[in-house]
Amino acid sequence: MTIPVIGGQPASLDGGAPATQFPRVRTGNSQADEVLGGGFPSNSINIVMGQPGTGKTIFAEQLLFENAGADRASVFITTLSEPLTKAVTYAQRFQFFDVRKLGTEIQYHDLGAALAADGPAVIVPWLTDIIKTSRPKIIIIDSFRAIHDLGTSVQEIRRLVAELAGLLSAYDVTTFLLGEYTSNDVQRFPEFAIGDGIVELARSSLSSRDERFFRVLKLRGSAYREGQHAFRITEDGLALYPRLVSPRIPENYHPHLERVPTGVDGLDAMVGGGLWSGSTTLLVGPTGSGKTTVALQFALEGVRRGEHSLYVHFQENPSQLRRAIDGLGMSADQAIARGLSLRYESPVEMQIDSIIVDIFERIRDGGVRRLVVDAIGDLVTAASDSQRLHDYLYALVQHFTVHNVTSVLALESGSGGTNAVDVAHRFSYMSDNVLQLDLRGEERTKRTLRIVKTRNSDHDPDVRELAIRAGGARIV
Amino acid sequence: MSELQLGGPSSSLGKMGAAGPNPRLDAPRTLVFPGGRAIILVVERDPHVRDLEAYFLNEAGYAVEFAVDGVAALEMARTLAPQIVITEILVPKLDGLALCRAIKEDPALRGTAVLIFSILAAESRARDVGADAFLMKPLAERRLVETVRALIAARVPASPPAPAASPVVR
Repeated sequence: MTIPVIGGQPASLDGGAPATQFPRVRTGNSQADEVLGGGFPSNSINIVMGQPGTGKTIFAEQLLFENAGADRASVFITTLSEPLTKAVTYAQRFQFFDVRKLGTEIQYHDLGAALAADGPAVIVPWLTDIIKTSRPKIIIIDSFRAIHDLGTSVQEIRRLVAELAGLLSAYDVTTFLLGEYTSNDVQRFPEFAIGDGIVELARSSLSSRDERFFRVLKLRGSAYREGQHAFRITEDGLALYPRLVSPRIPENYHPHLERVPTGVDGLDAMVGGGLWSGSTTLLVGPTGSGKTTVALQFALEGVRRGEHSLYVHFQENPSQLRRAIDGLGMSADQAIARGLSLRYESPVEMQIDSIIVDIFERIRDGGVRRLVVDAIGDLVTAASDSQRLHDYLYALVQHFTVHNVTSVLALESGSGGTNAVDVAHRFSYMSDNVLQLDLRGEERTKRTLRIVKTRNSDHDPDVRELAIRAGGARIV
Repeated sequence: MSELQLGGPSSSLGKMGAAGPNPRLDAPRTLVFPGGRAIILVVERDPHVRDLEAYFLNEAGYAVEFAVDGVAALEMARTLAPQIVITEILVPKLDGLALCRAIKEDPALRGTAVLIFSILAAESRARDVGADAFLMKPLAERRLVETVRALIAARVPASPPAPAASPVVR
C-alpha cells in the first residue's frame, strides 16, 4: 500500500530522502550557510548572541529578506532594545532590503509597548495570534535578552521560555532570538537550554581597526564548521570568510611527478631539474635580496607556458609591481592578457581571512597552476593570532598540493631580530623547499642564493651568486 | 442528555485555550452537524498543537473533537464515527499505532481514515498498521489541511452525492 507521506521534512516510504535530513533555512550568505552545514535546521529555535554593534540585527534581517516569499510571511519583532523604526531605517542601507516585500512577505512588529504595559506574559498569546493570522515561516525577536529585564522572577522567565519553546516547536516556523548575551549568560539563561542553535557574533579591536568573528556554539543535527570565522559588514550584509581547514587527501591521490621550471636561469639545476609540481617553496631573504624578482620570474614563466599564474602582493602597490614586471621581458599588460592575475591588498587594511579564503576559492575553482604570495610576513604582522595564521597557512598549502598548484611564498628575514634560518625554520614545516637569499660583501651588494632544503630531491648545497640584471635574475 | 453543536461559525473550538483543559473531552456524545461538516477526531496531548490544529481545521471548515489518550479516542471514534482520526503516536494508554490498528480492525469504523501525525519519523510503521496517511510534525497548516481534504475526498463517493445539511444524530 502506498500512503501519502507529507511532512515538515522530506520523508518517503519508498526509499527517498531519509526522514532525519532536515530542510535548511538559508541565511542569505553562502559562506555562513557553508559554516552552518547548509543553513539553520528548519523548525529550530536559534539564539544569535553578541554585544551591541556586532552585526546581529543585520545578520537576522539578511536572513529575513532571503527567506521572504509569497507563500508565507517572515516576521521581525522588536522588543525593548531597538525601536522598530530604527530596525527598518538602517536595514535600507543594505542591498538585500526590498521595500516591495514589506507588509506582505515581511512584516515588522513592535512588541515593546505591550511588553512595557503587561510584562513578559503577553509574549506567548501574542505570538500564538501571529502564527494563526500570519502563518510565518520565520520569526525573529530582537532583543529577547531585553525581556529578562521585565521579568519579576527567574521562575516567570523560565515558565515563559518553556511555554515559548512549546509553541514554536509545535508549529512549522524557524525562530531566531537575538540578544546582547555574554558568555556568562549561556550558563544561566533558560533560552540557551531550549535553543537548537547558538551563534555568536563578536568584535575585537586590533590596532586601528576592528576584527569581527562568527562562531557556531551549538547546532543540533548539523555538521557545522567549528572555530572563529572572520566577517566584515558590507553593503551586501555580512561577508563571511569560513575558517580554512586542511583538505581530506583523496584516497586516489598521487603526487604529481612533473618538474616545474622556475624561470630563473641556473636555478632549476640547483633543485634537481625544477620544482616538483604541486610543491611549496619558501623564498627567504632580507629586503633587496631579490625575492620579488625571483617570484615574478616564476609567475611569468608559467604565463609563457600558457599557465594561469596568481600573484598576491602586499608591499609593492599595483603600479610598482607592473613596472617590475615590465623590466622582466614581458609587459604587465601582455602578461595579464596571457594569464597573470594580480591581487593586491594594502598591508594597513589587511583582513587575512578574506585573502586566504579568496586564494582558496581561486584554486578550488580551478585554473591556477602557479601561485606567489609576496610576502607572508605581512600576513604575520596583520594577524591577531599567530597560531591561527599558521593553521591557516598550513591548510592552504595542503590545498595547493591537492589541487596541484605550485607555489612560492616570499618571506622577509632580518626584521625584528630574525635571521633567514630562524624564519625558515618557523615556516619550513609547511614548505617542500626552502631557498635562502642573502646580501653579502662589505657593502652588502652581492646577492646570493642557497638551497636550505628540498623535499624528495637532490639539490646543490653551495652558496651561489644571484645576479640581477636587465631582464631578470639568474644564477651565476 | 445535552446536545452539542459543532462547527458553526461561532464555534468555540478555534478559540480553545492553549494550555487549559478541554471541558468537552468528556462531554456526552449527542451531536448535530449542520451543513454536513466532516468530523475530525484529534488525539493529541500537546496543548499548542491542539490549539493550532483546532484553529486551522476549523478555519478549513471541519468540526474537531479531541481525545488525550488512545483508549478514550477509540471510545470516541466508536461513538462519533469521525471521517478522520488524526493521532500522534506518543499518546498514553493506547499509542497511536495501536489505536490505528484497532480502528482498522473494527468493521464499524470502516469509513474512518487514520492520519498519523507525529514527531517520530515512523512512516513505515504507520503503513504497517494500515494508516491512510502520515505527516511529520511540526504542524504546517497547508500540508495538514491538504492531506485532510485528500483523505475526505477519497472517502466521499462521486455519485450519488452524499446528503448534505441533514443533521446526523447519534
